[in-house]
Amino acid sequence: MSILRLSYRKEKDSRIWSDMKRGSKEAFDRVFNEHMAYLLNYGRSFTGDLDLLEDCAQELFCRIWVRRDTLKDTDNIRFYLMAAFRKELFKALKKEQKKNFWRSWILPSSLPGFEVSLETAMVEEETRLRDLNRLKGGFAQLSPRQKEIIYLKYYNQLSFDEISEVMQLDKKAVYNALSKAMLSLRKNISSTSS
Amino acid sequence: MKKTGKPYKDYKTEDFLTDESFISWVQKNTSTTDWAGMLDKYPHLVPFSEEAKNMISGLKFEQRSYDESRIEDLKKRIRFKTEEFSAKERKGKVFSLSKRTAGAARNKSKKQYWLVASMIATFIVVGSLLTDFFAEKDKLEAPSDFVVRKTDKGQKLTVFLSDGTKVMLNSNSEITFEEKFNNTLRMVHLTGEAFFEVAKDTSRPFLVDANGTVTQALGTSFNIDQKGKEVQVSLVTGKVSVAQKEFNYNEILDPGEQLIIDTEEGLSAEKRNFDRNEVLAWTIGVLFFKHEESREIFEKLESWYGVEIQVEKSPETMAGWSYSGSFHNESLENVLKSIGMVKKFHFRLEGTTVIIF
Repeated sequence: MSILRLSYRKEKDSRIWSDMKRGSKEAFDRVFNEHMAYLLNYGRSFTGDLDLLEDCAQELFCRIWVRRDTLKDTDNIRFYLMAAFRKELFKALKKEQKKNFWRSWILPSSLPGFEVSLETAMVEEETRLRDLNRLKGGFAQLSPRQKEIIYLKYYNQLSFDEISEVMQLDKKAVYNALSKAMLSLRKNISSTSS
Repeated sequence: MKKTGKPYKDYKTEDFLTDESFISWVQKNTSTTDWAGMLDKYPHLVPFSEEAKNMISGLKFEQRSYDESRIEDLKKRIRFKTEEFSAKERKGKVFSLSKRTAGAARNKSKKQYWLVASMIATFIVVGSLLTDFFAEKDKLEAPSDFVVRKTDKGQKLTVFLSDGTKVMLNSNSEITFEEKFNNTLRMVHLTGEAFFEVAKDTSRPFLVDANGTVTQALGTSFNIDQKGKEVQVSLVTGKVSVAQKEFNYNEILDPGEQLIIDTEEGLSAEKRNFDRNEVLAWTIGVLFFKHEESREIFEKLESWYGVEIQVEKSPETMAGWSYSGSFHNESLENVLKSIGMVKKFHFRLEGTTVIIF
């Protein structure tokens, strides 16, 4: 049943994508109607500058339309867009940083970091609530990179291959970072409970 | 990705947590491994797998709600930009230049080839510097690029565009345009009804997109009335070409001609002459009816006066008649009195609601 659903999603994605490449405005509209909110929310974890985010999204979608016939095929549109959007956003953020050169010269600044937090748990059962709160606390202590990997893996359900492409990291590095992150999350839960 | 060589029976919580196939099994119930069968075989793993499952399902992220209206505006801007590009594509402006240079280069002799190559190289370097510069500039200007003007029911509005074009917007309508038009096109998006007096500029065509029907003009005046999938273009002076992109349809209008395009079921297009007084009446404050049924009349009145009309009279007595007449800057009460006298109905006003009985 669910394997069917997954292959259905893939089939649907590659059909929409190829329709769009052939110039279907309807398919193009569908792509941004379905994914825009996700992309903006993802981008928001890097910056609070909404105007900049929206400029990047506009730039990305316009370019997709203009170059539609030269784009490579994909059966996972969400992943394709996240990778491209992240690149676009980083380019813009770096440019922004250059503009604020003097400010950054005085105040130390780093590359854009990923900031999200886990939602506040709403469960009745006490031990489960305690565990979830500890999970939330532990998550807050992870590095931006670890947070982003977890977000992409467990929330967006990307594969390790896809994550390494989105984040421009070696697949091994992705795996190790995730493995370390999960280990420390686990420790956080069990050490405080005993 | 599975850790190299580690057999399932030695799995600990963290191995489950980072096993791609296990995660997919927990989240989507799909996997290449039979996890249920595996756990049956090694029951000592169940506590670890349960812990991993609990952690995975606990990883829910805080949703920061993004303002819907901002997303809608962004979509509008993207639609606008891509429309503009498609219009340029149709004009053939975008690709013709590069084709010509490619064709010319092929005919050169070898010596000339190097000369051309070095020239092109210089051109590319300078060009990329320039495009970078302009791209930067373009981007900085982008957010203030678009203006949306809107009228509610009962409102009318006159807007002047940056090229001097005058647009009268009828009630319950919306128009989107670039604050400052670019050098190649003047593009406007319309929902509802508007009358355009286009400023003459032969170098930049003026385009109005009304739900996929695009009217192109150089320097003319025309009225567009869009209701859902029906679009009515009425030309007063000059010349326009009207295109329906989806159906690859194109038609040229002369003054006094009106084109009605309906894309509800396939494409239907009808060209006919129109009565200027009827179509343009609204622009001078005249409410105009010509053989119109009760339903059409009440819809027009709702939009014109910004009221809601409820009919309590039996549908049979309200159907089957049509009415003609015009009213110049008349109050709603007077209009209803006149029509009611002829068509035998009474009405009462309750705030912004009109009840017909």
